[in-house]
Amino acid sequence: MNDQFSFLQFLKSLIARRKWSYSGGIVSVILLDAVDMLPALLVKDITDQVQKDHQNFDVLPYSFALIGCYFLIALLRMGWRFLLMIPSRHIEQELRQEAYEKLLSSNFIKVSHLKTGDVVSSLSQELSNLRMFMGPGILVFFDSLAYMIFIPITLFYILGTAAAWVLLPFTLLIIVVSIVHQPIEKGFEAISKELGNLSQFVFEETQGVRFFRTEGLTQVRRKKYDYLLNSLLSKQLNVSKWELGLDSTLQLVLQCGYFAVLVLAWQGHSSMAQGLGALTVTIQLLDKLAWPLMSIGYIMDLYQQANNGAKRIHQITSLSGKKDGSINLSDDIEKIKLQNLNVFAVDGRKLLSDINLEIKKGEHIALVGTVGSGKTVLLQALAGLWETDQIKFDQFQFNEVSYDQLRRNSLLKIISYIPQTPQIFSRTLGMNISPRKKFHSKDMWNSLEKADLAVDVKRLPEELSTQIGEKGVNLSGGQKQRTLIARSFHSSGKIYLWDDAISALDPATEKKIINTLRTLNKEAILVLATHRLSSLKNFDRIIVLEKGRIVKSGRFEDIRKDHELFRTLSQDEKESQKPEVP
Amino acid sequence: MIDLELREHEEKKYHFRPFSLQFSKAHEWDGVAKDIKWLFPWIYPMRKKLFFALSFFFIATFIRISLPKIIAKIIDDVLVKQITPFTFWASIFVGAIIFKIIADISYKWIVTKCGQNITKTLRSDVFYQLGRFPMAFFDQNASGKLISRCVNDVTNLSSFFTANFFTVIADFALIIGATLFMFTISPGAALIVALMILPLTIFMLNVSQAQMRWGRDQRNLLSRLSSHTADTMNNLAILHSQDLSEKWSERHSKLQDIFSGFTIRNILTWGSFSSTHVFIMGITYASVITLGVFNFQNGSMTIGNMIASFTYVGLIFGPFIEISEKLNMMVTALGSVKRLRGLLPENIKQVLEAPKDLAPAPQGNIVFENIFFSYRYDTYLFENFNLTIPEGEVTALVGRTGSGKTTLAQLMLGLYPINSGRILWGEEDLTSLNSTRRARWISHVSQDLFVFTDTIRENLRMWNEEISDELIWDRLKLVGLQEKIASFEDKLDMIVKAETLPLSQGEKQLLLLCRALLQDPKLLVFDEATANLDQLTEEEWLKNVGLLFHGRTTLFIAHRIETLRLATNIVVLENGKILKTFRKPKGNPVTEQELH
Repeated sequence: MNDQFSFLQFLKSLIARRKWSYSGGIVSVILLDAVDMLPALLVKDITDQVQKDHQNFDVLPYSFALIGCYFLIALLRMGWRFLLMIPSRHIEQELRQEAYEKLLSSNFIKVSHLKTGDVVSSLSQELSNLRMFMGPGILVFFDSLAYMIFIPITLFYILGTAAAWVLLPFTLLIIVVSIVHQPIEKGFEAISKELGNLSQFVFEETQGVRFFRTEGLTQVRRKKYDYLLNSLLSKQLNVSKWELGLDSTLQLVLQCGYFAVLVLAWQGHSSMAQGLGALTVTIQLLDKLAWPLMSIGYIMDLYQQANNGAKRIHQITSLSGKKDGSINLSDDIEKIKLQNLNVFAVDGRKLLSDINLEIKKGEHIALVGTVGSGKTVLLQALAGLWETDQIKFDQFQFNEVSYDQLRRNSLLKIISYIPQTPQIFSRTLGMNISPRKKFHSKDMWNSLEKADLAVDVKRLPEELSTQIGEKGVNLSGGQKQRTLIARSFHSSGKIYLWDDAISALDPATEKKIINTLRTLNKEAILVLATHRLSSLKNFDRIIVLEKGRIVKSGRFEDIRKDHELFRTLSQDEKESQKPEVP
Repeated sequence: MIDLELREHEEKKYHFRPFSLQFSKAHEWDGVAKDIKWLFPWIYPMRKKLFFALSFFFIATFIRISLPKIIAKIIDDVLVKQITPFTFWASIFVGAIIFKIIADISYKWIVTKCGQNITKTLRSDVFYQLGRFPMAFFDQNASGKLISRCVNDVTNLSSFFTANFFTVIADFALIIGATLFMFTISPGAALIVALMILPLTIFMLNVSQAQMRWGRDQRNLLSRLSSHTADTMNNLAILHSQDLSEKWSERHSKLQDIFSGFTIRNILTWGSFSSTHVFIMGITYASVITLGVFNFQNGSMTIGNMIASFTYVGLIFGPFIEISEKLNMMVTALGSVKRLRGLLPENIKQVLEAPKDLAPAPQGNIVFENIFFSYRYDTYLFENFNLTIPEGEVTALVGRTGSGKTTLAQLMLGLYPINSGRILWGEEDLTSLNSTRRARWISHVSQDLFVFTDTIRENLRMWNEEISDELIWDRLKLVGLQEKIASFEDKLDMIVKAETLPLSQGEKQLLLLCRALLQDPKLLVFDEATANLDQLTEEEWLKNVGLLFHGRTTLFIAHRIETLRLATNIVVLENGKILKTFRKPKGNPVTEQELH
């Protein structure tokens, strides 16, 4: 991330993937533009010849040559579509897949620092901007360049030095384009900002509709909205003015060019001496010159957007991957051993310091501590989510296998982890509970029972096949947590790591679920992070964390008396259980 | 895996055949006449301007088409025969050019301006219509949908009104006009052109349609890819800890394959059209040239006209690519018209509200009389409900979630129509109170802490210019927010949004109390929500709320026991029925036992 990102370097590497295709495409664009000069020259010849020698001129060979030219042009057009457009799509697709896979295969901690909105826009909008440059951008660039070289050359060939007179008005166009380009671009930005304001206003209206109505503000709101509309209108008209100005300049320049040719012809300029061909053709060529000049601004915009897009995508594709070991873990886990485990954040802060811990098969542990005490980090470390470059340890072993030699997948298979914020896939409920394999309904209902979710599911319109998360059914906070709990029960792991998975449940349900978990998994390792004291009483061991260190560990009774944290915790508990009006 | 079945399904539905008449069956064009008729009331006021625009447009197009003919004249009469002086035709040429540029600018400017104004009126009307919908409408429609109607759909539509629409017409006019002009020069050449553009037009219409469909599928798939990515990011911990990477990557890749199927088909279809277009143009060009030369050789055509006929080929074939691009935009616009029609059934006239009604507040108790109310048709939430809220006193409403507390408050505020029965305020019917009086004398403090995007001042006085800054500062001092607001750089002028307000939830609640104090209502509906009050001490809270309740008829939805101390009446609701009522002399709290 701190290394200098070079867009050109990035482009080079992208083009290198499809070297032949790109060079072929560029050659065919240039070739096409060259061939495109031929019809003009042929028509010039036809006009001159027919004027010179009325009767003996045979037009047919010329006609066939013309058809040949256009056939070639048609072929070359198809050619660059194959050689530039399709590869640009493929590059887009490859990059998207590459970036997407990075999300899943890179360092979890680093990926989770990325913002969802940014990632989504990188993989859609930004990537599509990059593709626009890789396809149409490169095409238009070489196309314009070729035309801007070939047309003046052809004109000078036909008209001699007089071509300068014909081309002179075009300098005006270049000047106007360079002046107008900026205000137009800024104008469009202003318009999209105004549209954003409108959206925000309507959003607010829908959110506050009760308020506005009861306070009789409807009329004022309408006035405000009309005010916004007027401001949008003025911005739009402003851009239209510039655009219209550019459009008129273009017309003016073209017509001036025509007129210059006519004057040349009238004055009997030497180039016209051979006949009228030069006049006919010059007009055609001038027509072709307008477009490349107009597209300079377009290419500049594309380049800028692609540059930004590439930066964002590079941020994802350059994420470091996971280091995987080679030793498989057996399905039967005997113990986990931590000795002097230290975990460092991306910015170098110490999150966990000198953690010493040994957990044996069948042991049920509760983690307590205030916010930021390191419970989540410890659970993440146990879940195999931290990379070895961010943790230091003397020993971190599952059975006898050290963490850095472990094949990660073999660990994942026996872990059942519930993260702190309920994470739900916006797909069917059944898929959420059994994401890995196709589910059997009977097992599923069993897990739902255990998580106390069965009754809720029966109320859903399509039960297990109900789409959740998206439109339609939204689950409450407690239902989300119970969905995750059901998923955890369903996965039947050997190590259960629950990070505050029960915070949104009422005490009775919580107690029931924890009892079910403990009685069903006497042989498994359980590590639960929690806030509630009432659920801790029966745990084998309670570990108190403070500022990333283990400050106390033991059974409930041992800790309760002498630890201050427990007093504050019980205080909290009392507060939260204060009776509310029914 | 519904997503993955899409490919076959879509392919079955649509086979691209370049020269068939399938474009005529496209359902995108269904009901176009009705849609355009629906737009008519908005276009009608602009008719004079649009008439001018149309005139200018015809002049500009006519000149554009006749320019090659003028050049032909110059070639024949000035350069070859030398029977007319150059200055004569040159001034006609220059005059025509200047006239054309002026006509062009004029019609484009008028059309753009009219279009933008029509769009503006339409936006304003849609917003007006939102204000007329019953509350239930907002409960049923997601805000995203309404935003897209008010903003995006109208934007799409504006492309229909602005120059784009005329560009397509101008292009068609150019094709037809140039062919006609060509006919006057060389009927044979015109016939060749007509024969060639017919299949090309059919091809073009089919390509446009195919692009529309595939473009839609493409967007659809892209948004599915995006939601897959978003879903991945939202479930990162699960995916990383459960060994699901492979499966998820595979799904992503499958979606991409389908996506790329559409894009590549799109590129190829478009490519085949573009190449065919060039090739057909080449053949036409060669034929017209051959014919022109033959005609010139047998003396039936002047050299100037021969050259003009060459130029016309370019004029005729040029616009095809542009038309097929613009057709897509028009179809998108038509889709938006259809959606807008659903929202705005016919043209509406915005009615200005009546002037402010300065009549004093009604006096007397609030009486609910035989109220029947239901949100939906099937079950009544309130059935024959009766309640009296005594004037000048504080009545607390308690009960479980879903017992009807909030609904009762909303009925009083006139947000939902009552099925039968009435709510009286003294002698007057509360629900038929006109809106200015209702706004003036009734205040609602809700638990959603609503703040709108404007200055703090306007958020407090709600655009009522009669409220002075001194009064605002005075009330802010009363609720204890004076120092906090004074510490902001822009003080009352600070522009706030719901999400950027630098106040804690508790302070926000105080701000809204201050808003209600400034309004000085006679009837207060108050929804106390405990969650927002964490940072306020009980004392502060009771002091401020007491201040607000003092001397007003108050209905308050209570959540906390302590606040019940303020109430003289307590009504316990359950399932839309009154379970129990208590009446207490002031200052004597109701005990918890009494409530159960």
